[in-house]
Amino acid sequence: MSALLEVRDLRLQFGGVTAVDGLSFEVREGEILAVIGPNGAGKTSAFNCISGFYLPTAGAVVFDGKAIVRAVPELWRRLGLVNLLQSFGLYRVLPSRVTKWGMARTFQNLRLFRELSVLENVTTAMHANLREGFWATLLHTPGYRRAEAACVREARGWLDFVGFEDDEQLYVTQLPYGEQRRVEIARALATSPKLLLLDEPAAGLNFNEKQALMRLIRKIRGLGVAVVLIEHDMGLVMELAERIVVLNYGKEIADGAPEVVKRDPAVIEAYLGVDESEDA
Amino acid sequence: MMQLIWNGLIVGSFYALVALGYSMVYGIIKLLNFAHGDIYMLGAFVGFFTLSAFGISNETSIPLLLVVLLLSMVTTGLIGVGIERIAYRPLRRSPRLAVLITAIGVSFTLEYGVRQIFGPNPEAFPIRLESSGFDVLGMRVTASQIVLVVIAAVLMLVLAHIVERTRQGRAMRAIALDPTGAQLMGVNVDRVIAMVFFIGSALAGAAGVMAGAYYGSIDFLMGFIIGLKAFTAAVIGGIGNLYGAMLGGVLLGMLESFGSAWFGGEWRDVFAFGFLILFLTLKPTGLLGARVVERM
Amino acid sequence: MRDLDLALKHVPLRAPAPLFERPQPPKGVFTSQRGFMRALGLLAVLLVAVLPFMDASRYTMSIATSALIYVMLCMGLNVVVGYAGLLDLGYIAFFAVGAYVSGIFTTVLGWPMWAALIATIIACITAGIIIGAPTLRLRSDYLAIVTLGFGEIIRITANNLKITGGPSGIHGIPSWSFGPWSFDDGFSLLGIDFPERVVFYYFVALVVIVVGVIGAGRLAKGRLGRAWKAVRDDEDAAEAMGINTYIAKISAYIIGAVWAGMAGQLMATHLSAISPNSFQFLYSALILMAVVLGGMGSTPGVIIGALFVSLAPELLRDFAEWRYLIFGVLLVVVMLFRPSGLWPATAVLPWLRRSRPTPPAFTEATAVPASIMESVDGTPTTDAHEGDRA
Repeated sequence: MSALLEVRDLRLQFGGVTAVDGLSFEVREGEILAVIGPNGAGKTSAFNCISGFYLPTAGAVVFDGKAIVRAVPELWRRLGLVNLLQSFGLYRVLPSRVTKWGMARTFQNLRLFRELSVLENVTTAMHANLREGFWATLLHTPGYRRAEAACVREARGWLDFVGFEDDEQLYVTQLPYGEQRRVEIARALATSPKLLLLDEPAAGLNFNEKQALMRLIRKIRGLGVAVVLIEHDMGLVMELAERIVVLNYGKEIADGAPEVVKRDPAVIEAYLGVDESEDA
Repeated sequence: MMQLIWNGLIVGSFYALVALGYSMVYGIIKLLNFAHGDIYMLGAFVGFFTLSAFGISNETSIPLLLVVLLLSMVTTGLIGVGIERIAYRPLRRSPRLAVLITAIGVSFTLEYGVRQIFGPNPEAFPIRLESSGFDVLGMRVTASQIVLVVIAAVLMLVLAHIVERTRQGRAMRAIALDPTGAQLMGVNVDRVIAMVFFIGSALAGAAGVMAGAYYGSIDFLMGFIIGLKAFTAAVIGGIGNLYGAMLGGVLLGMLESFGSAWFGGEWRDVFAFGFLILFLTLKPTGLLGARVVERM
Repeated sequence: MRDLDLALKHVPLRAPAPLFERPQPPKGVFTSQRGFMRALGLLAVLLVAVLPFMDASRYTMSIATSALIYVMLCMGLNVVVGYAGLLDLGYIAFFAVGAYVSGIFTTVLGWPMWAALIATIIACITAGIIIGAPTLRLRSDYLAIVTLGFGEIIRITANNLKITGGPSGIHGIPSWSFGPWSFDDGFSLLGIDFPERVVFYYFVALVVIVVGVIGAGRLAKGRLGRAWKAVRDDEDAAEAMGINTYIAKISAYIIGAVWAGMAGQLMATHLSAISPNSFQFLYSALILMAVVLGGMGSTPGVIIGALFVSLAPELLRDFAEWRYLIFGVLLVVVMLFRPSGLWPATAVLPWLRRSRPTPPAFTEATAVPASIMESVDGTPTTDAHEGDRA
């Protein structure tokens, strides 16, 4: 039971607002973990820190034995040295590097590449794993053609895997919302992750689409990929997650199996409300 | 030495006035208004046109300057609002690139529109402030210079008052912080943005008239370089921050003044742009700008 | 299939094999977009290649060669602006670097032209890194103004330094020569004399453009090009997909710089004289206009835009007087009503439209300046503005 992702004492402040306040949790290999909490509990901010987009004020994140966020000496921070170094791209792990290490993510408000076709959206995500040299691309060498063909085949494999059956040459803006969600997951999978972060994957989906999403997430786990999802749909979370981390005001207030979390008084007070506990 | 500081202060106050508009517009809708320098040019030409229409030339009266100044400010302010309405507002939801390109188009339209009307050659500005001066603390100071600096200072104080103390000012600051939130709180975003354009453009127009009276000649490209310089000033001070824009303007004026003295006047612009690049690299938030985490 | 598997052997997590074969796109001149564009391109090249045989006068050839150099510059800027979405307002600076480096190396130092070309390329890469490295980390609008400042720095420097000849520039830049024969010597072909060296530059420019069009198209389709477009569409999402956006941007920037430098060298040798006045901001803006009017990211659009911007003032005398004003107004109008240009990058041939979907409108793309205009009930205000425009 080794930890794939370890978050320790993560803290993030914007000006005076503390978005994440000493968050610690871990994700084990191949599990489905749900992160829940009321709106503004700091879930997405925590995601952004973990995937390298935000630089947390304090804390450490270790993924697959590699440090994504390192503890920064307080003096350096005071002197503004860290900001300076980071503006040169030093002393921080870029999100692209995190993705290369095997952590993929989706966004809360769909962020597909709008002027690329469905297929191109997915092949773009294979960037880090594709070996195409500059001159090979210009000269269209056999190696380039092979890599390109393999890349397209792989992308189609992912599109089929997520159940996308429409025309792959469509622009993503022409797809219905649910299909765009699928493409976004296919795109994340194409980066070949060990851990997939899904930010509210069920938002805006209807009942059938949600059922399909749950099947898909189980299928992804079946590939040996750990899944962390932020979700508001309690039904979906309770059914799908093997473990739940509950946040409130940037702090972790519970961590455990769905049945345990459901009965946790702190959680009921902060989040689920009285009605939910009566259902159980 | 003192002379350099004084010269820097005068040029700096022009920069500051133009930089304020840049900074305000950027602060509120995150748009680099490329045409802002051309509003400065328009201000000078509005003054020129009005005075010429009344057949005035070689005038030295300061009250007349103030009247023209006011008139120019109102006109350029309205032009600024018109530009925002026609060219920028429909594109507020478009990608940044599209709005920036539009701003370049507006800049070209203004420059070459003026060129078509007034011709490509420099015109002599009808009000010429006398250059007789006196020596204070080892620097040569003219009365007109003092008038210009005082006008600039007054304008900036009025602006500071508007932004800090009035309802509209509070609305501006609210939109700059969180446009959606401000709208939900009942702020009329369109009207406030229009007002920001009015104020910013009026200040640039004032600077244009003052520059016309100070340098004595105006031409249709006079806004290009000062637009760049004012942007530099806004960045040095911290873009989006009004006091930063004032500080940056004065600072840039001094830097240029000293830079020209040490390296030669022909390198003045290189010196200024060098500073811009340096600042953007090392401290993109400027001297007074807060460190902003870009929201995703 | 084995071959394909080998190409991605190192990828840790592989997709399951596709469940079904997707239909192959059609081929042929009139049944596929690609085939038609190729045929059109070939036709255009033939037409351009024939021109000197119809009219090889110095005047025509000079204008035509200048227009081709324009096309070259616009293609380079198209990589930077159209593919990677980086607004470069000082593009002419790299053109200047190319022209001056080749001018100085051949006249002052007496190097042969090919050595000067290599020096030009190295100088442009260096300049691209110097200006791109610090600024490409910044937001896109900062980049615009910094490049503008950089363009001015280069022009003013060229104006002030002795080695660049000051305001009068450099004269007597030699032509390309191969052993004893140089472009100046002229030649005759098929009984027609081409005494003007400008004819050579015309053909050289044509060949370079053809190579450039093919090369840019290939780059755009490959890994790097996809990364550029991803960065343009959504930088954060691109970063999340494992694309180092900084490297993607700087590579586009450097490729654009080198291409402009080569155009600069071509111009310096073709005109044999250069001066700082040819490198004003005006020209950076004109190139940008050509790219925007034609259609950012669209090779045929950009070529048409470049020809329009460079040839219209020559062909229409009345137009010349008013051109900058018209260009300025056009720029605003195009951005408001047809932001993807005359020939959008996503354009589909009319008769193929039924089998392929219509492209998305450019304006719908993610609005970065927050959701300022999302009104309370959630309706985007763009709708509200439809009425305003009418």
